[in-house]
Amino acid sequence: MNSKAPVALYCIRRLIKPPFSLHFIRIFVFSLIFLVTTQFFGINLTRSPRRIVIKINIGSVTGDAGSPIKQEYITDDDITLSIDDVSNRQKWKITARRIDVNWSGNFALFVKRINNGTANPGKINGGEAFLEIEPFDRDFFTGKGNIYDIGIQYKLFITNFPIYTDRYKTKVVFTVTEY
Amino acid sequence: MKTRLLIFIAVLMLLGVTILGASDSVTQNIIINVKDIAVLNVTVGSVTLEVNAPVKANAGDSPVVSTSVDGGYLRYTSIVESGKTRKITAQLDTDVPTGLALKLSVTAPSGGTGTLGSSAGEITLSKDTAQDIITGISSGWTGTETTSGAKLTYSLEITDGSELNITNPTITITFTLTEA
Repeated sequence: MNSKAPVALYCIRRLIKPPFSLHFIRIFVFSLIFLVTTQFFGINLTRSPRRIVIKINIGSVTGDAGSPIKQEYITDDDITLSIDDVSNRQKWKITARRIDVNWSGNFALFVKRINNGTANPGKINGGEAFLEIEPFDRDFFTGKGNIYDIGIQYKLFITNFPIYTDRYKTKVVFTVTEY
Repeated sequence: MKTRLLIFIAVLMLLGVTILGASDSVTQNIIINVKDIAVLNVTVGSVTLEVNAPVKANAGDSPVVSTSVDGGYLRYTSIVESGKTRKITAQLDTDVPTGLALKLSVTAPSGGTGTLGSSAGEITLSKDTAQDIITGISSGWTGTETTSGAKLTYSLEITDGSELNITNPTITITFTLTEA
């Protein structure tokens, strides 16, 4: 027989039995208010657009028939990140990682920052060289205060050939953290 | 006592946020759309094959025909789905003059990148059927160096000397890179 069962039962009874039940509700409500407050007033990160498509097609052939396809693809300059709701010009950092959905081991994905965005007020540092996005968090760039429309650019590099017709997909997760 | 505990928890949570900092995350989907690619060309656009009379000293011998005429190289770039293959076929637009057979010998590409297929060797070209000359092509490219690609060599063969006529036809060969 499991000797822990009566102990667990006793704890549950004590938790729901007054005055502990009221105490528990107070803690719960307080935590809820705290979480909601931090959610609304904490740092906020947005990105645009939601989806980036890189096409490899007949236009990717580098010359006449028999020529290889391009090894490197760089996205247009219309991808942005914005950071706002930063408390008291707090310093923050952005990390990037990827979650593969249907990815090829022959692809390497990089990201870099291509401008300073619009500071209000704010300051931004790093991220100007391509950073390879790995399946784990890597530091991208740091900053201070609210900064809007920071331009970023992706680079796809095909590390090995051949590649095959398919629709490959990965999710890049940017995380901003105050420090 | 309870109030103290609440204050303690609140301080702890605020301290946690101060130390760890507030954070937020966003996700951006990156899609790499790799489409089918099939590009093919041949380096030599025109070859001449002849049937000539034997030299005088060997009168009575059969006519002399062109053999081993350089047809250049077939070069291609191919991207296909994993597990699928393509092939290259060859077909004439008109019949070869009577009494003759036009043969094509293909050497599979050496070098290049990827899976470039294997050669059917020597075939006799015809107007009626598109014949496989290279099969098992997956994703890859032959390259564009001087000797890159599948080498083509043409030969004429007399099949029936009694049917030979004086003629000077132009025959077009169509090469097609297609799904296997």
